[in-house]
Amino acid sequence: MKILIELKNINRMDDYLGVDELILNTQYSMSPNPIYSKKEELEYIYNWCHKNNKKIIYRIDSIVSETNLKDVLNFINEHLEFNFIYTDFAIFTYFKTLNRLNQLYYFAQTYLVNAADIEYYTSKQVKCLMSNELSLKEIQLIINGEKNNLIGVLAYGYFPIFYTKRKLLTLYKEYIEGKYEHHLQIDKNKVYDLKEELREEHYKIEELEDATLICSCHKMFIDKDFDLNQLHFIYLSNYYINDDENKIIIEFYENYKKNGIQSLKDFTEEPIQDLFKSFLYKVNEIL
Amino acid sequence: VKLMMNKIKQKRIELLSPAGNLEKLKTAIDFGADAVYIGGKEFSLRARANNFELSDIEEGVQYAHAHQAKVYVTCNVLPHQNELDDNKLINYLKELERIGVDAIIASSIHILDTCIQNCPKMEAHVSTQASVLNSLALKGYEEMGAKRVVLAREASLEEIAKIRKTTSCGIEVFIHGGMCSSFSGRCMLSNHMVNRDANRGGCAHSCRWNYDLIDNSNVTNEKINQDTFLNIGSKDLCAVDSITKLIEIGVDSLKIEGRMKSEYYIATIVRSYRKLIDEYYETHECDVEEAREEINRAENRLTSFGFLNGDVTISGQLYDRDDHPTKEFVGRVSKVNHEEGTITIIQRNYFTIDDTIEFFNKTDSYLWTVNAIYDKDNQPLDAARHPEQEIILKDIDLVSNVDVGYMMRLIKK
Repeated sequence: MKILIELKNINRMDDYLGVDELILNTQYSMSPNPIYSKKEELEYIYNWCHKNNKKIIYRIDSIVSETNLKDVLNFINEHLEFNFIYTDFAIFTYFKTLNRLNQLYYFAQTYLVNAADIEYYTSKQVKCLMSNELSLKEIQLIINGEKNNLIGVLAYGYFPIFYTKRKLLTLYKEYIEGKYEHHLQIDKNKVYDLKEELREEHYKIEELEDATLICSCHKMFIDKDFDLNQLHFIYLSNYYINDDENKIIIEFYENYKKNGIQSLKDFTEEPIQDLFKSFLYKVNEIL
Repeated sequence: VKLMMNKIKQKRIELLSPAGNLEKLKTAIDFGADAVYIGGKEFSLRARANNFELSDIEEGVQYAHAHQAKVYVTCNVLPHQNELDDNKLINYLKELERIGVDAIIASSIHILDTCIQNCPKMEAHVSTQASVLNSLALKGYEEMGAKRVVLAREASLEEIAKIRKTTSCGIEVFIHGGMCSSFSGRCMLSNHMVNRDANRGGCAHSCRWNYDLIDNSNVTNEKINQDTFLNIGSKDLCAVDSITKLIEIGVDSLKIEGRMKSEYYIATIVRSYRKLIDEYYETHECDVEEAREEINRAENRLTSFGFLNGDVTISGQLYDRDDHPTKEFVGRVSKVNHEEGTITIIQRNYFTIDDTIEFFNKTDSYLWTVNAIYDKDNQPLDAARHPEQEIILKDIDLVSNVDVGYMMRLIKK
């Protein structure tokens, strides 16, 4: 089992020693984490990864518009020695042409919920992250039904549940300021809470450069109730967590990988807030 | 590219309508649709759209083909592991092919691939759920064997034109109806909030609910929206202004959304776009204002042009709501008796004596002022109050100007 996580603080690289593959955010991804694109930053990261035997994965998992297509392909060509996380079928098509599909991780978000869909990609050597809204029972069924063992799950963290090209916060600010003529303090690249009027849960909402993301209201986590070591990889989401928590969860899953099934609660001295088993034990109502 | 574009443009554009049941399928075709898309009982979203049994699909296909129209069946669910039985899927697809269904619409790569590999006489179309926004993704699906891709609703006219120039694969574009605020297929709000999975037909339209926006960067957790709730929902799409452009770009199919909508809605919207398209081919000019006026009479939600002109602006968001459905649709003619000088209608909304009603079909319309109303036992009524009630109207002129299938809408009270 490989551990994948996104780099969120270049000043704490040694926190990532327990990781197998380090994800770098890009302007073509749908992640709220920082983008490191300066030459000296990248050199530092590349050197650190080389020295510590870590692979680098570039994250280019936005849905690609025709307008952006050329730029995205140029970006790929400039970084072809690395692996990539994608979601758009164009990226799959491009790597197929290059005969380099084994460099891809398909983070489909909502699309991969059965073994047959997954196997379409894994049979071509594309590694696949299962959708997040699956129960442990469903995850096990998929593992049992998929032949190539190139699949992974989100094992920890907040995750996107809504992805739009609309600039929802900017538009709302413009609307309120136009209609009620008073200033509304809403900033880009800042996370807010979104709360439905009749419900208590707070969902994370953030407007990125070309999209708005809404994330889950709790951090999902898989620990002692499932054997993650049967998977090809796990992905840890470090969206909206601090550096200390980031460090702890890397250490926890590194320990899990080495020593088998562990309990997160037993591992940490300070309890981690806002954890929830989310969909792991849920059964969806089908209308 | 020029040759390909010329060939594409020689083909008349297709008007594709939704149909939630057999009656709506016939209405859509009668009012001018070149093709309809329907949901079967298996592998289809819009679980509440009275999806078709195989026997209904067969009848629908026969009706459509007899009227030179096509039928596409949506298989756009993303089946979970315990819901996906390959034998069942193959048998179902083969059965659709045998019946004569022209294409399936799917987003699951496995369902698409299974159709392509097993059903050579039936086309596979890639659903808008696959969020295709660029020519390379389209090329990938084309190489796989898909014959058409329904573009994501986030594509602008400029981008659609660029995509068109790169491929001969069929391109379908939404022109009217509900829009997801998120990329279609990428919204789990309903799933997280009320345990209803939109990708399995259970969308609870959580994007249309009211939200507070809270700044959690300080301990006070300050609510930012003081005057009104934050709405993240989208207005419906209405592309009357873009029809000429879409035809000239060389798009293959113009799609109307709404398998859950009423037959009146379908009749009115299909008729309006049919007229626009026909006008374009006859004169290269379209009476957009007339179409817009007509469409507004069927609307029950606010509309905008979505992403067709570029990024969505305030006018594309659902801030000032007006969700009250129109009550204009008052009935449909079910029988005409020339000997007795009567027509029978199925009532849908309230109307009364002295109201002015327009009867219309695909091309004609007739205005009539209600002189008297009778129930099916010939007893006089002061008003038609009960939906689905059989009502009899008597007038020689009316009988000679309308026919079975005509829609009725209230013009003046």
